[in-house]
Amino acid sequence: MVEFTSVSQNYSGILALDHVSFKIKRGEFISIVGPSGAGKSTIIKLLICEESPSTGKIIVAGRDITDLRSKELPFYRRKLGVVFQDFKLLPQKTVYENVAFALEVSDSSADEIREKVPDILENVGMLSKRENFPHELSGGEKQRTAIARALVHDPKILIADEPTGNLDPVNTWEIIELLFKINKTGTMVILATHNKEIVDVLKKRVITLRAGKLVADQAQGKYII
Amino acid sequence: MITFFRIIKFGIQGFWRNIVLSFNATFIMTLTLITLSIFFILNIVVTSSTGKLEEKLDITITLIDQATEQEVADFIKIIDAKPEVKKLEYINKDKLLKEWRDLFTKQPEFRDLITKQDNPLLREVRVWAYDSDNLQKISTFAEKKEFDLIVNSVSYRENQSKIKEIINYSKFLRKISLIMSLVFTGIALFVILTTIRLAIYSRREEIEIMRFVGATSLLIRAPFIFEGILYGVLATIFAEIMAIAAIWGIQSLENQYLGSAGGSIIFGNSNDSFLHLYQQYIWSILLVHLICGVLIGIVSSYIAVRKYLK
Repeated sequence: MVEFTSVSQNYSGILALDHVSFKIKRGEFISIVGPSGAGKSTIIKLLICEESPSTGKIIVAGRDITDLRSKELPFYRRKLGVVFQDFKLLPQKTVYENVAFALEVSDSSADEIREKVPDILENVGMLSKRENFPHELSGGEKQRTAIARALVHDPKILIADEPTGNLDPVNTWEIIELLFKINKTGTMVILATHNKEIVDVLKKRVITLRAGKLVADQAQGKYII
Repeated sequence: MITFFRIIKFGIQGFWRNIVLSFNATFIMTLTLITLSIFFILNIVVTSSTGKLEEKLDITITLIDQATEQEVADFIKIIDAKPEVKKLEYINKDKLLKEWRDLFTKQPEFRDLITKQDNPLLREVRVWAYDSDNLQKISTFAEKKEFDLIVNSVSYRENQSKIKEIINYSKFLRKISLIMSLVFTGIALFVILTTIRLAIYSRREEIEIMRFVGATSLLIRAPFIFEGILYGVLATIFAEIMAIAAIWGIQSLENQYLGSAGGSIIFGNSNDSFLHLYQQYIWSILLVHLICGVLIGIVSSYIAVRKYLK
């Protein structure tokens, strides 16, 4: 479902990704690991089309996303769920409105929004905080809201870029359990992290990057660097 | 339709939940509109008063006594046919005598110097031009040799320097008021554009997040543009309230210091006043404010958001 073919990314002479190739199947849970500067975030940026690769092809659901036109971008992004380390919640919208916004941008009806948003907030344990603004939430609550927003439109792929980077251990494990639960419903989860403990416990496929190169791809891998 | 209502909802939410930024932008927009109005009104006042001043400029052609009434009538016909001539008035001996008597009503020793039988006053043709610049042209035409047996003298020569002085002064006033209007309009537009850009700059992360969740450029841009329209509409209301208060203040000062002569002194017409002028133009001013405010809001927001949608 996701296929990187010899993808390189060059930032003014600095090679952030060097001919990286891999495939991810439907419903997989994959961790992309490596130290800072290994290229994890670059892969995420390429997947969400924040950047275009210098060379190579990225196929998502049969479509090469490197040649998407800017008008097609919003429609592509609506098919993904993305969770960031810094949560990226809209500061002037409540928890409910942040989640509803993902449906509103895709022209969902008011009835659909009224039905889906409380459900997903219930699933991530945020229903009781639905009227709170992001600045009134803890880190874990913000991330759960972000996950709810990422999932509310039923994406087939959930991309999580260091989702536990700003969280304490308790919240970290809550978020990982949530991602695990999401994966069990059939959603592909791509988790970029440098948290060894998490990767070792997950016992899922691990792609290891070092200095922009793919150095290992293990089916039930561990953090090897 | 759903999108339209969501744009309005997001716009109102954005305006209300960023109330400090919205208040600042509306306040600056109000000042911009007031600045535009001040110079708009200044232009009206200057154009009106200098126009009235120039309208009073005329030339007087005095006619030789020997010229027959038929010759005079033909001469008037020729002058009146000139495209530069706005109107003319023929003053015959009877009218001149009446004017003389009216002038010296309380001085009989002068009043009775001239009688109907012994009237040395020369008949006159008073001429007004559409453009006071053309008075000289009409004067030169009337001084042509072919009219030597009809025309005695043309007053333009005598008052030439004074007339030119008045014309130049009114031109100077108009030009200065236009330049100041343009300069201050430019400054006001720059300030409001910068204010709205700063307001949107502080919300650039919001735009980035909207893009990540798949919002189209229209859905990102339109609520900001709607907020810009709100700044314009609210600023129009505030500017109108402030303008009414200012006009009342100026009017009472005019009444206090200039009394009933205020209209003549400021506008060259005793029936004119600031209040009267404002009442006359209130709908135009309101419409100009609204169009300017809304347009500035739309354009500024569009430009400011565009940067973050690339």
